[in-house]
Amino acid sequence: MSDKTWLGGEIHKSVIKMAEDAREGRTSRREFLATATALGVTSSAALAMIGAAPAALADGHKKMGGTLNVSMIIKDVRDPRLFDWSEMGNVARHFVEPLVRWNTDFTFSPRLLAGWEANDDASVYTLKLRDGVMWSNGDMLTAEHIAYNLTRWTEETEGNSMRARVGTLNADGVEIVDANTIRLNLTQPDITIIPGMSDYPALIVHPDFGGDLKANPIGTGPYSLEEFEVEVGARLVKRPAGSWYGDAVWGEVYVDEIVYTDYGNDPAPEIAAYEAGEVDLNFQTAASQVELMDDLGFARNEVATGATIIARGNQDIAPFDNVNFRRALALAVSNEDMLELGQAGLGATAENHHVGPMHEEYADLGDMPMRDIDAAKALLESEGLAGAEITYSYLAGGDYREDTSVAMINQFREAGLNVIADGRPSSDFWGNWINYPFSTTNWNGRPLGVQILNLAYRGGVDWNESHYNNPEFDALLDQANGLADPDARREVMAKLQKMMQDDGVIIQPYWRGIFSHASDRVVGYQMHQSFEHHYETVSLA
Amino acid sequence: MLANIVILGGYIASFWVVWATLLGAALLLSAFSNVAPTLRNKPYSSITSFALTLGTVGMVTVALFSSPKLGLATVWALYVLWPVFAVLAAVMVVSWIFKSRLGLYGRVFESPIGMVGLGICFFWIIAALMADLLPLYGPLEALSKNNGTIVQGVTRKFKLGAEALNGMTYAEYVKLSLVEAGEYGKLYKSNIRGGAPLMSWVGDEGERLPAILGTDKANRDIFSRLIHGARTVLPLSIGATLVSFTVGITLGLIAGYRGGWFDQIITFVANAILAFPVIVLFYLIVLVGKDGNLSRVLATAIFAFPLLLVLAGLWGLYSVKMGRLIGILVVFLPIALFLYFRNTWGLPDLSGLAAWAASAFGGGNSEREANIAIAVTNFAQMEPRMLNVFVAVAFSSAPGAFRLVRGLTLDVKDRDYVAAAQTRGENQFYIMIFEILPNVRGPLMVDAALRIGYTAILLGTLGFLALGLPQESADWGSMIAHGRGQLRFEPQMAVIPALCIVSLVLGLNLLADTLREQSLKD
Amino acid sequence: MLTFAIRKLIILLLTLLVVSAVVFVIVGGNARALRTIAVLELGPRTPQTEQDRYIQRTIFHQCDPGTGAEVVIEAPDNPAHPKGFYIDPEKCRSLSLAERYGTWLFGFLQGDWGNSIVFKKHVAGYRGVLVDPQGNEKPNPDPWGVINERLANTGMLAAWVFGIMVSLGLFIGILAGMNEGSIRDRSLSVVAIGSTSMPEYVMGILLVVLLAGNSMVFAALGSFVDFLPISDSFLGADKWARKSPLQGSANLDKDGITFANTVLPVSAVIIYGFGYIARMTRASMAEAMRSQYVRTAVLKGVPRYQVVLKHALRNALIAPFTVIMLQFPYLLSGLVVVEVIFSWKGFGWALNAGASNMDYNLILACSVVSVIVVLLTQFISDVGYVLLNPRIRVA
Repeated sequence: MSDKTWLGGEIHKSVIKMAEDAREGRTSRREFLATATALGVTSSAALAMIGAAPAALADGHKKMGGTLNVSMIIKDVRDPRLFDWSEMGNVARHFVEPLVRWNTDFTFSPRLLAGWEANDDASVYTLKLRDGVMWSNGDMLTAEHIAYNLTRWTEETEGNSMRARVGTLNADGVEIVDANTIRLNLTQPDITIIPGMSDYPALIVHPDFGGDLKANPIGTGPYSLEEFEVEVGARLVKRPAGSWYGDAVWGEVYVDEIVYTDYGNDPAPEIAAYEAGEVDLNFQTAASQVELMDDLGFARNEVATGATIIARGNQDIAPFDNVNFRRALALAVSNEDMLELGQAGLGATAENHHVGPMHEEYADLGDMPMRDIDAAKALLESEGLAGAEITYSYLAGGDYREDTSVAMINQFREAGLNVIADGRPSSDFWGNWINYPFSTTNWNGRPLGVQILNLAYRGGVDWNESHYNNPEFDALLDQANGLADPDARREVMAKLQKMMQDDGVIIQPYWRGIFSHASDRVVGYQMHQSFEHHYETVSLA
Repeated sequence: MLANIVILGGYIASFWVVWATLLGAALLLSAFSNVAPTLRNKPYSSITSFALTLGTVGMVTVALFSSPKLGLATVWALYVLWPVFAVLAAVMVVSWIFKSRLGLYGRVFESPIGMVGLGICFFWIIAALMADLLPLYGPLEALSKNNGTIVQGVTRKFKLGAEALNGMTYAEYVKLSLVEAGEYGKLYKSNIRGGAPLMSWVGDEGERLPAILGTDKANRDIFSRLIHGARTVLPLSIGATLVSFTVGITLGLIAGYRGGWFDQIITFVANAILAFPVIVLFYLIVLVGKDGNLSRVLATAIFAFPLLLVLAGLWGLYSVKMGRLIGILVVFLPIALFLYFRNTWGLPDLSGLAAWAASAFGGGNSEREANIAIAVTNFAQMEPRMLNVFVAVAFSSAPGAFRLVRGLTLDVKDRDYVAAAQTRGENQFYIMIFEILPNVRGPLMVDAALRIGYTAILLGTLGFLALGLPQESADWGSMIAHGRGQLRFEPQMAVIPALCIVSLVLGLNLLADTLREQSLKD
Repeated sequence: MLTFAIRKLIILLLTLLVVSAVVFVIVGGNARALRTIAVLELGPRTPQTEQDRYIQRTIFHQCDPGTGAEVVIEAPDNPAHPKGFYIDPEKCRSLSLAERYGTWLFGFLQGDWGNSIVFKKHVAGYRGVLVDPQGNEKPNPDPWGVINERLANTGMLAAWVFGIMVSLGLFIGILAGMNEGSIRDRSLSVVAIGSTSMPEYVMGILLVVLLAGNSMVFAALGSFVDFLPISDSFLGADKWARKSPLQGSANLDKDGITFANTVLPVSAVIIYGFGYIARMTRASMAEAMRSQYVRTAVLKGVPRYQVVLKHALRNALIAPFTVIMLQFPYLLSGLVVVEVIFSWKGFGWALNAGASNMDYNLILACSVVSVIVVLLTQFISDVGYVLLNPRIRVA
């Protein structure tokens, strides 16, 4: 069947087994869709496999034209592979496009690619280019251009975050088959390579862009960058009719002009701008402001994600090297209270092991960690650590990170601990975030549970802020990485999750929901789970 | 009882037309008294002042009690703070009685404006001193199920009385909001959440204080934090002003009296500091100096001046009586140097002593041991971040004090009494400190009062920009910064700390104005 | 006069040298500040080895242009430093703090004030030639720097503030000083004192709560309009009364200066600032009214308004002139808080963004501009004082 995969080939073997699991409720449907489309299955076919109808495209009454005003922090857009904020990708994505897009229904669909295919063990991928894609300078998009980008991603340059996303690819593995086809020979099987290509730094640039996108905004997207100033704003204007390849493929975009304005980190000026009618959409509404924005009559958009906040002790530093001390800390904190105080209740409580129901391999351990302040005190007393002094570092920016941290500090104090609150501004906090004795950090969601554990809790990895080093844990994690079947993986995950809890590695109070608001002018907007802005479907009433 | 007071206040408030008319009439009368001199005479002037007082009281009642919650908050605040008001009244009355014997301070009582200013300043000083005796929560104490308090409340919009009344009679509305407050207490018993609205009940009535002004985002009682905040703001602003004045006095006296190259260099440095943008100065001292040595280096320099000033004074007095000088120094120097080095380089290190004290007096209880150890380790030492802010503020206001003292010294140094002391062959430090300084004290005191207020504003700016002070500190500037995000739901979170700063500065400014006027009368 | 000006100029240059050197040593020599810069350039979660390498390469060393990053080589095979790096001494020269300051100063004197790390463009207008990574030369496409643009925005705000604040301060000061001790004097003095007790951040917040957007005052007005027996269609009552026409944030790049976005920030500064001018004017006006020549004029029977306007005012304005001139420097750095509250993208806002991120080129430039403005206004106030007051001569 030609419409089952993007390239008309056969559906990948493992997808069939996974569809069965999803139908019977053993894995989440969202995760199935993500994995299946990452392996080259079309989203409609994937939906059909689990017995769901594809969502009808809401056409509505859409009008052409108008200016869309968006409030967002504006950071430099120099070189996509160096992007470290979703905001950077959002400005750039309107004029340079990714190979693959992660949709709001959690499927992956090709953008500059016509499709892709993986071999059976997902170690060789074949990428097919879309025909007729033209750069804004008149060049046609060729396989050389894509190879140029893929090679750049694998380079070792300070700040190149794509290297980690396509870690299984090196420059030798990029093979140009013909003018329209590229083959990727990975060093080992990897099903995250396509999701990696949809992330915000994975935008495809023209080889002549000269290392600075804002100076040479050559792109394939529907808009062109007209004005740009860091910390101030950006203006993107629709390309002249007929000059964009996508008019035929994706349909013409509605909005003539997108204006981004930077109102700073503080929510007050942004809300004032909403009230003055200067803003139609924002990047994100802070949890504490959601209710207010609802009351002011703006339409709430929300997505449940794997985004979360964790508190961890650095296990290289006393007293956090003491497992009972760490357990006592976890006992002293009520995750429900943290959710209420830190996130205004807009989220779901978590279980101190950084794997959640949104992950397909999540094992339900059954017992939620509960606050037991007497047990915490007793444990501290038995270790001779009652009244111990700890320095708690956190990002003091007035948002959920600060609120949660301060609430947690208060609960620690109730357990008799002597907490020094070390709130730092953003410019100061991140310089040393790996090494604080105790701190809270926010983490964005990842599609797979093992991804997070590999990234943050394996002994000696770059982002292991808890300095957790447990050979047994690492061995189990290796085992889990090799299990493609979620059911088999879940059994190992249960052990890993339990181990995380028992070793008191982290306190993870909640999974947070993310929100944004739209004015009544905006039609057809849906918030993206990783804050991406796709405005092709948006029009102005 | 409380409810009755609020309802009574509400009834008074509902006669707002009467009060407004009274106030208007009084203002008209006093305006016409310029034109018609008869209105300044006896029966009319009494009528005017009576109408003015009653009208003002009535309108204030209207403002406070048009919203029952605000009325309740006012009544509660007065109730909680009554010891402060009692002490304040006692101090004012005693000072009034003995005003003729109290010099310049006593003369403040000759001006009503000065009394108001003094009253406000005394209120905050007394509140800061008595904060621990009042039935308040701790400044960092979060209200939760575990300390026997129940906090309720969803973030709700603060509504103006007029809007909320919505067709009800005032008494109905009061009853409703009192019942509401009680109901919330039961309803949300198991639910804790920051940002409780104005006047939420905590626990059963009478057990512990209600959150009079609601709670902040971390569920700490705002009212308690405000009163405790005076304990951060007052010592910091007064202390930093005093230190910057000792710097200014020491350098300004020498520069003004001796002149020459010393004067030129110091004036140049002072002008350079004054020309430098204050905010950048703060960022440099507070951010760069956070863990580094910048603030310690500055502290070493700045804190040396009080020491030097006292030493110079002692030298001026006793340079001919060496025995006495040495006797005083033997007592004074060790204490002064101990304090000096504790607050600059953290020396001597008391951690060994702390460990010993903890094991000797801890009695095996590890929590108690930890507390003893911390108390001994931090003995007589400013908290590092407090030190940063202290140094930053003192450093930035020292050049101003220097310029003032130098100018005054230049003005005074050719006077007869200085010349007389010179011919007597007095030590030059004696002349500077015991001849010149006392004679310029008037302008110095006025400037000090103004500068304390200015420092309080500066501290607020620092808190507002989240610079320096510990992030959870209860100072008013930080409270404004934290409450700003909730401005639309719970404006009192930011507005009331802001009014605290305004009231303190206003008090100091009124006081300074009166001091200036009274000292000009000499 | 000329020697006076030359002496002031020398002092200005000396001050600039000292101030810039001190800032450079504090920021450029501080590991923590440099790390802040590295985090800003490379992103928050970059591993520390990468941050260190960046700092070494771009700040502590000067490497051959064109070879760029390759000069710094990871040493994965080195068992002693598995994650370390070394710097090729053949291609890179290590720079001392003094050398780095010298480089900055040399560039600064030539008009190249360096790049802002926060704003990613030149600090001040740079019309020189840019060299891109490939080594091609081309003119700078964006010749306006951060400071030029931001100063223009602050200039507009300051002009309004200054115009209104000075005239209001003088007016109230003169009114109060005319009849010293009268009820009018007392009440105006209390107003003036009250105004100097309300710092900009307090007024900014109060004004936003009370007057901007869906604010309390306009919400109350709205409910009052509901109460009136007129239909909603009349005047579109529900629309106009509930929502304030004033804005709590300014979007200067889109709207420029409008009534709606300027009223609140301007008022916040004026309310704090005018009281001081008023009190100074009052004091000097009161002194002038007590003077012999005014008494003589009054006794001669000159009309009162003529006495005030012709005789008293001229002499009374000498002292306030100095005070007013000294408000300029305050406006330059004192507007920081207001600009932050109302997101008014001016000099103070840029200064705050730069200083909080240790953007040393921007901090240095702001300090330089500030020092120049302060010393220039001092000079003008000195000269003006002499011109207004014939009894004093410049030494």
